[in-house]
Amino acid sequence: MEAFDVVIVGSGFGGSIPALRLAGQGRRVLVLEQGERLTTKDFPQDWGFRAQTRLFNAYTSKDYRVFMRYGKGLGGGSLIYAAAMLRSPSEAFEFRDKTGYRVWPTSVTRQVLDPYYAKVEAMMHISRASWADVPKAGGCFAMLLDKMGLTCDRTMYPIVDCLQCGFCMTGCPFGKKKHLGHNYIPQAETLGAEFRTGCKVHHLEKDGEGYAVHYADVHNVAQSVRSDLLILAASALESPAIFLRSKPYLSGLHPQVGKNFNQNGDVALVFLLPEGFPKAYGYLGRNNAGVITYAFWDEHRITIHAGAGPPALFAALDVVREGGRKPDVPLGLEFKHFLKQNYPDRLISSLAIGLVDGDGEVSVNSQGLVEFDVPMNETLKAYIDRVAGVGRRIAQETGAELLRTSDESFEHGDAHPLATVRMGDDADRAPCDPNGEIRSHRNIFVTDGACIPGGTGVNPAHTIAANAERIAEWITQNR
Amino acid sequence: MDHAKQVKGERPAIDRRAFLYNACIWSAGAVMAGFATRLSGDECGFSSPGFTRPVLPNACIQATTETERTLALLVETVVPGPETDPDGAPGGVESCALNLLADDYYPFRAYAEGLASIINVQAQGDFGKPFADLAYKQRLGVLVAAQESLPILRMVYRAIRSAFYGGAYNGVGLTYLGYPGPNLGYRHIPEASFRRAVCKELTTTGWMS
Repeated sequence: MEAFDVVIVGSGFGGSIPALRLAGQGRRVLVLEQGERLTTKDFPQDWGFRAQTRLFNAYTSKDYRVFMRYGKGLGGGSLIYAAAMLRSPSEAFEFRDKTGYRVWPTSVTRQVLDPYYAKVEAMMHISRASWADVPKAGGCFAMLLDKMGLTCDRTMYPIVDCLQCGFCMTGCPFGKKKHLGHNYIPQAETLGAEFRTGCKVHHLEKDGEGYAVHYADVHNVAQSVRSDLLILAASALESPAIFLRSKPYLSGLHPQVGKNFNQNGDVALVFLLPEGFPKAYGYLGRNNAGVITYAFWDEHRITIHAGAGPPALFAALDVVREGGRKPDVPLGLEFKHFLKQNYPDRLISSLAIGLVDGDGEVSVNSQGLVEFDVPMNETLKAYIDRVAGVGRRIAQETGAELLRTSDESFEHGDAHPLATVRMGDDADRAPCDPNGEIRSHRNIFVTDGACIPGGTGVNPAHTIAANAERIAEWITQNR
Repeated sequence: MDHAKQVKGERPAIDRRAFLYNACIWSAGAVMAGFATRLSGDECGFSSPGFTRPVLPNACIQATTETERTLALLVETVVPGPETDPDGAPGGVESCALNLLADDYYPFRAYAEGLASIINVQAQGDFGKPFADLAYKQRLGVLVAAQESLPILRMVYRAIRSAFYGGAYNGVGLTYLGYPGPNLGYRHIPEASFRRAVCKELTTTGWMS
């Protein structure tokens, strides 16, 4: 069997960052990525699903209520992220769930992560958007907050000389949005790390003092490699699935693997701007529309990002009006005419992110494929009500209108799955220790969103990256 | 054990996950697939910035069977076209939403009869007539009622909406909404940004401490 010092599964933030750091130590590193090696010319300005199947895998929950996806392709989620790179507020690290359990390890705080955040910022050329970089949709959102006497901050991005074409999330076709293929990956390759694409890992197996990794290669042929040290960074959906498929071969797997699934408190809020407001031109500019408000953080532990939106957004969300106003269903003539009348000038989207318990679970079905469930329990209901309350307050105080975004209430979930192989202080509740090592199996580390133990309060990419830097450093010093 | 096959291998004939994987979409990104056999990215110009996807009405599948006619009416109800819309604007049928039946990424063909049957059962129960014999408002009522008993229908409606509002097969819906699609960037046009501070900021860094 082919052998390496380190095998890493996944090439997103959780995978490419340790790849660089460990290759930098002279270790022989192999990264297995299920997607393709894509370049700028492979990113079409096309919201069509077939184009995007190269860029992410998507799933719905068992009850079809929650939609989740994770990036694939060399660079993982960095290819399709909206690229808001924000340090998580300190309070996110102190969050306690409904049982009083502090989900983040006490040794991992904002202060501890700060130097690692800085490292990522330097690597990815992260800087703050200028007001000229804030597209109209973001500007309109900020104006709503201003009308309330509240604040709205420009966001940080690894985007240089953005052309404002509106296609960040299908992969920037102009190479302006920096992804891992611009920095960590080429540097790791220079240092000898090998990145194999088209390789889908099926399961792991104990092999002497190390582990065998069994995968299907780009030709769909079964292959195996081994290493003494293994890093899983295949996303919060796929990393637990790999562990769960490995149960027969990894005795004593921690029983919490797959549990505590947290969707980062994502809730979609869509506003109809007041009459006479400046036009939003929803499709113009970066998909994360340049601004975030922290004005509700102290009271509600919620932040809200302004988002831009192609029409596809309104096809995908069940956007309807409340209070007996039409359209009250996202079907038919009234819905069509409503969109025609208000898109792109008056409809703006936004994403609320906040701290909420992770009560979901990732499992695998009889075919070994990922399934997940996010129960609509009282905790989640109360959280969504809280977010909706904030949205309604914005609407009421500005003359805007908050639209409902799902049949039940507000669309939640989407792009930020976390915590399914979480780290933590409590050995019974957290499969990974604070260094990301799975407690049941020495020398297997988890470094992606799966090990982030709870909501980050903002887009999680920066925290995933910083945490991967932190764990990688620990490994270089201790293993 | 041939895990390669398990992981990447054959698509099950009718599998809920395969259906959902392909049929449902997320908010800011995901829409339905291009009709690859007839309209590849290159052919429609979508792979290169600066081109507009052409309208290709001739690529739309025409309903020929009873089931297909029922589904065409379903499409027409979800996104009404010139037959229903007093503005005469195109709708789901003109956006080739019926091409979902031919897209090998979707199991719509496999589900077609069941879907038509469910809608007809609901129509019979509500109005005593098959779906095809109902007026537009009655059909809309049937679809709303049907999704209450079968939540997965919401995903079907989303898929149909995506054909039109997401431009999955052609650009008629995008044109209708005034969405320009592929472009070389709007940075230099006045509408791109207010280009000035429009709100006070809480932080000097962009993130909280």
